[in-house]
Amino acid sequence: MKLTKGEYCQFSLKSRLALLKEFGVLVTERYVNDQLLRIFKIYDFYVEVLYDLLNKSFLKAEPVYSTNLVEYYLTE
Amino acid sequence: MTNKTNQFFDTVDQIVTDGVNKGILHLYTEDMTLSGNNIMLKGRQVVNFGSCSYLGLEFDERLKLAAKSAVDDYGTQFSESRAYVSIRHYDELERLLMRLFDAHCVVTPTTTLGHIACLPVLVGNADAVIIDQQAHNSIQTAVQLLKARGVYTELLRHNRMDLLEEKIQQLRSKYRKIWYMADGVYSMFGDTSPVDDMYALMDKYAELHYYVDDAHGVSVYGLHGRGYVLNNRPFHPKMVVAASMAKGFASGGGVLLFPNAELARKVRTCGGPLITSGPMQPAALGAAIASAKIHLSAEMEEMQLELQENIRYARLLLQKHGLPLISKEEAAVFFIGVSLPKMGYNMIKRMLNAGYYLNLGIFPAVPMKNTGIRFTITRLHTFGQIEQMIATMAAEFPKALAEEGLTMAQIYKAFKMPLPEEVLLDKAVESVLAQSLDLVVTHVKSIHAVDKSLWNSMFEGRGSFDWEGLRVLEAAFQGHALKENNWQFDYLIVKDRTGKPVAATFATTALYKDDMLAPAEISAEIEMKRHADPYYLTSKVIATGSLLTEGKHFYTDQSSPLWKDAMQLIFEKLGLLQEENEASAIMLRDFHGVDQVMDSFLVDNGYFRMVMPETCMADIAHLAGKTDGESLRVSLSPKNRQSFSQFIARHENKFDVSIRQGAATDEEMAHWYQLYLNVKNRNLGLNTFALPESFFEEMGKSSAWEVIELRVKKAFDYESIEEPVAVAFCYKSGTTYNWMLVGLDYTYNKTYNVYRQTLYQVMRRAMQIQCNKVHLGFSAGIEKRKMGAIAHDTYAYMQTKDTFNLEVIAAMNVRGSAYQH
Repeated sequence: MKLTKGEYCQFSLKSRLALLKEFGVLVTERYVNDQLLRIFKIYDFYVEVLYDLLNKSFLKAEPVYSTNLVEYYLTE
Repeated sequence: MTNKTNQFFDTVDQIVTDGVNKGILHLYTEDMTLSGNNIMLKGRQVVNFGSCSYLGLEFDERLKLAAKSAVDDYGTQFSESRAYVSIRHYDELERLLMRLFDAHCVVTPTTTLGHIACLPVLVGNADAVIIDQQAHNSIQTAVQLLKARGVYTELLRHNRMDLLEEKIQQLRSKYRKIWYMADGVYSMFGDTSPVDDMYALMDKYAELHYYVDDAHGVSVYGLHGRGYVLNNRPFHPKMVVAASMAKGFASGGGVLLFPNAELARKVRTCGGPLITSGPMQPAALGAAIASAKIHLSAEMEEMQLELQENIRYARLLLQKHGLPLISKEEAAVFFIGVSLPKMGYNMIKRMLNAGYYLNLGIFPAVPMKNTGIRFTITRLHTFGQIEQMIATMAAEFPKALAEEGLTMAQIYKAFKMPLPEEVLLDKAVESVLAQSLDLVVTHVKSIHAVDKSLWNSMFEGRGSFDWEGLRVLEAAFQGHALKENNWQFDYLIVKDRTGKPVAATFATTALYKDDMLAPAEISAEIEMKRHADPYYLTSKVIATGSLLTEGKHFYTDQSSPLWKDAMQLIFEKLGLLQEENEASAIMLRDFHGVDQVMDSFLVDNGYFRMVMPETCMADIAHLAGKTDGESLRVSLSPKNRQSFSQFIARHENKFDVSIRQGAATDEEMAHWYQLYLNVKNRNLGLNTFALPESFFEEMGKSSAWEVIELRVKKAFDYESIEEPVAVAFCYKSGTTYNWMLVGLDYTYNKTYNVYRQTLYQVMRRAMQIQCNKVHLGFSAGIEKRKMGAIAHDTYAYMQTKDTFNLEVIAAMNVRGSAYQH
């Protein structure tokens, strides 16, 4: 059963990551200075995950709100 | 009487035997070892959804080691009544439990024995007992002992506090105490006792006392896992709580909690099983001590959160699949109504065949026609296990219904619940009626068409978007050659039939940079590409508020019963405006913290929550009218005072500060604008288009705006800059001072801490003009907090047109499915 973006955002960061782990597909990743940025596809939307390489901690896992930005991440 | 008793047991025997014959009751695990939630039943691996060990602590090495160690030290048992000697572990455990529950306690071998030990001591012959019809069988069993003594007992319809109050009024003159007995979380349906109502009734009626079994609430809820009843509540002096250590606690045993030491002593001394029965054995005591220590540690909150997330996920999926979930509460126990036993057997068997073990909720635990599938969620379940189990249940449910010749309507009827379609229809009818009868939406495209006093009654003091603030914005953002500088304004006000506003907002449609909230480094990269194409990665967005306002842009009168309908009307209008203005997304800003009611309402309406940068506000009501920096300094924490002295007070004498209102010369304006650009171009964390110069010109014409200018005094101006090195653009709305923009010359920023000095001067100015509150805006939260501001988590809600996403994914090369980290 697919969750909507709104339902996905009801969960904590830890649970959002767990959902990505179980149901998401890694689409692309890139290094941005000391951060690792990953884009996952889950259900019918994309999620931007930001991981702080220095502190070894996840900073966010948020649906990407702009379709143009998704395209940018995929093509750049 | 004998016949009735026999008849009851005959029925139980018949039902249970039927279940045993069908292979779903009296099962045994066949695994040699267990380490998680998979068990082997009848040669098949299944996922166990029947465990009440909600935190999964039974596999925690600390509990296992403690149990083994206790056995090594004391053997497999210590077979003496606690009336004579208890092993030292009891003392340690009871001390830990006193801290955990913040109550006086007595440990018992089981919760059932706890009831049997406690109730005969607690309840006198001159007392009356009212027992909830769904109270756990173990309480009902103990109450039989009271009945035998001739104590007046009566059954109460489940959770009917109105009927309880009637009973109290009837009985209070005849009995010394009236005991209401209930469960905290009911073990079958997973619903809860109305504890707040009980506290109120106990405060109202001196005779009323509350005996509550919180076996399924302990560990799951509250500080240190104190349980549902004690979650965020003090221990009521007329209450006794029985808890279990054989569920979330994972050790076995029970515990009775008392409001005072004397009552605990009396039960410990006189309670039958505590005199004549055997104690808890060393292994269980050792595990209980280890579990209590975990409950008292910081780890507990995280474990509870993980469990709550699993519960939330299961509940969400059940709702989405439209399965008949009986209780809507956030308990770890779930009950899916199936009405008749045959449907229950059918479903449990189907689930078992599909690899999921769930409990059958059947007579005598529930009434015959209220049979159901009872299952539990623990911290050990994964989202995948939950998702697959519920998907299987949803797929098998219609097949079982067809096989048993039942309908969904019959199930809902058996549980006296309206069908989901009926609920939706009722809501729609209510909404349509409410809207057609009572609510009127006004939509205008300029603030000039809105009554000034009406608008200010809703928005004054919330930010720079009272009537005057919006007039300035409208004047500034129109008629430009660059499309990003032309904003469309829409004002929406919903009033009830008396003309009172129930909800209101304003929206602007403007061009946004798609990377507005992306990491600054990404924005820097994209900005390079924008040199060639300024509109690369930009989209039109309709947002409540604007790119230049901050604060609560939504007005709702939540005391009105129609506020949700009013919001619904606004959403509908925003949807139309999105199409009309050709915007790709709707953004609702700025929500401080998560208001659960509003949050679920917005999610229901297709919005998702996203994190915005935190925003800072300072409450300075206590400083209003004071103009000296010292008053501000002493109001800060000792640590921040030190920072204030070191970075701000030390440099204060190096600046000339002036407050500017009204028009500035062209040269001054050009300089201010450059200072603004200096800051804007450095700050890509919230990446927006640069404001047009016309905004600064319009600002100069408004008496509500003022500019705080900081110049370095000649004696310290070794670079001979002479012109202002900082400008703060501020807006006064009611008694709120809003720092909207800053401009800086970075030459002296490090040596004289110019930014901090500007922040301080903003605070001083707000004090001087007797404001109660200062909005300090996004970013630089650390510095603002040092000045006494409080940072608020800020969220926006988005609704996007997502179809493009799917096209993109179709066209791309998916590089892998691995999730790392």
